[in-house]
Amino acid sequence: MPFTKVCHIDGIYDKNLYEENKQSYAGGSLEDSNVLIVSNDEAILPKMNAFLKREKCYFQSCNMKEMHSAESFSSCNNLIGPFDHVINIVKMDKCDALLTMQKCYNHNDILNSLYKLLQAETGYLVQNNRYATLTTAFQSDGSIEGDIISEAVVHLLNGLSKPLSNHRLVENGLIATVKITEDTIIRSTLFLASKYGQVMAGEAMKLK
Amino acid sequence: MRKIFNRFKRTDWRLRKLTYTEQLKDSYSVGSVVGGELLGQSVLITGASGGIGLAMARRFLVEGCKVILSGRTETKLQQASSYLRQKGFSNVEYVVIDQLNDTELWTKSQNVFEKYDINILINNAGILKKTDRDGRFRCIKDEDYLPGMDTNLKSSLVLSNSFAEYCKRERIVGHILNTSSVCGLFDSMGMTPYGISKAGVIELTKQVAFACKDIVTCNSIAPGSVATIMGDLHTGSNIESFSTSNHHVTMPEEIASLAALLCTKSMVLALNGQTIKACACEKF
Repeated sequence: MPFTKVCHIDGIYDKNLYEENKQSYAGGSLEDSNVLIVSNDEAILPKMNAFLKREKCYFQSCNMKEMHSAESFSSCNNLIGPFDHVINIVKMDKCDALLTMQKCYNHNDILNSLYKLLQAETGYLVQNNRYATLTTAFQSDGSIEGDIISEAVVHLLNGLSKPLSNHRLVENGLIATVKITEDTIIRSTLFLASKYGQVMAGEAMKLK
Repeated sequence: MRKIFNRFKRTDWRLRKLTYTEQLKDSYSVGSVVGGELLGQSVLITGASGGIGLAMARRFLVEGCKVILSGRTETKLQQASSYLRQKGFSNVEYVVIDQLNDTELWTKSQNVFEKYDINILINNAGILKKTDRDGRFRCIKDEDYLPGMDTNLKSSLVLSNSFAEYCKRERIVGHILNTSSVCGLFDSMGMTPYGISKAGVIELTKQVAFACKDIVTCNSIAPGSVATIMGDLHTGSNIESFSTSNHHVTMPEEIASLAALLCTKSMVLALNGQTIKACACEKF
């Protein structure tokens, strides 16, 4: 038909047979990938790096505050090639709450920061990749506001999946309470960022 | 002129064909997804002669577990067992348990738990009838209603109780993983025996986790459409799909990997009583 243009879409799957890695949390599927860790908690980065070494991937970490736009990701990239997997590990602090101590609106709350971060990351990943994953882990501080923000983050992750899948981006994540250890959060994010996490696209696990 | 012409062209989006091959299954069944944390565990999987159950068996064998397959048809279990042995796994056995036979379910399950020192019970056996798929209601008869409810829900209840009893006696903390379905969460199949039974399984998961707090932990997976015979798909089928984010029907191997993650110590405590949806945003 002269008025119809046919465009083909490929399914998102990975049929590579990766080398068996008994220490992996990703089935070995992160091997040789470029992984970016973005966090507002510098204390978790050494643990994350230790887990990533076992995955035999190339990785880099950045502070959440430095990532404003898609260009910040390109400029901070020291690896060869664009990032294939972005893992956000966001921990809530008292100063990240929705309201200030004086009960006024805090426009620099963690939800706003995370929203802007995801905007910048999706901009970068859409420009640079044929396929990528975006995994977000959010740990609450145990307060009522923390729980409120956690549910908002779950809804944000649920909603982003379908539009991002049109660009072959798999997006998922988890929210965790204060009781959950860093090791559990790291292991779960590695699984979610791998090819096995594709089935959890648009889902946020709630670790309590 | 051509630019103006092109602007009025309609775009016809089409998915590229994706065949569910043995090679694709193999690529989703290598390497640990739990860093070796399940090494040495003993797992009983019901409904393991095919589909998600067989994929789970393969995944747990990859993770270094001893796996006991259970089902109601011995020939199918033999075929499943030899398929796994062909893939290089030797730590697999099978037992014939008919979950529709409530008189012997408790005794048989206790014998299996004791004989194989089971740590993990996976309630995966399920029936989906044609009347469920057709979304019928008023014409559902006992022969359509009872097998589904008995296998999907009641047998899971009996086996969960039996396993909790066994764990209490042996003073161990066991784990139960139930295979539910998104049909138990969404309304579209809510009036079918399948949908009702799967909704029951979701609540069963919460109740077992609460009632048997220090004895067993319990969580469940709710898959969407999966490339199994239940979904009229098999090895060699085209599994492309517009309704998921991944543009393909979920593979049993993907569900199996998630099942392995949910059975690790840290995750069972963090997700106790919860149901995890694994349908890649499929719309129902």
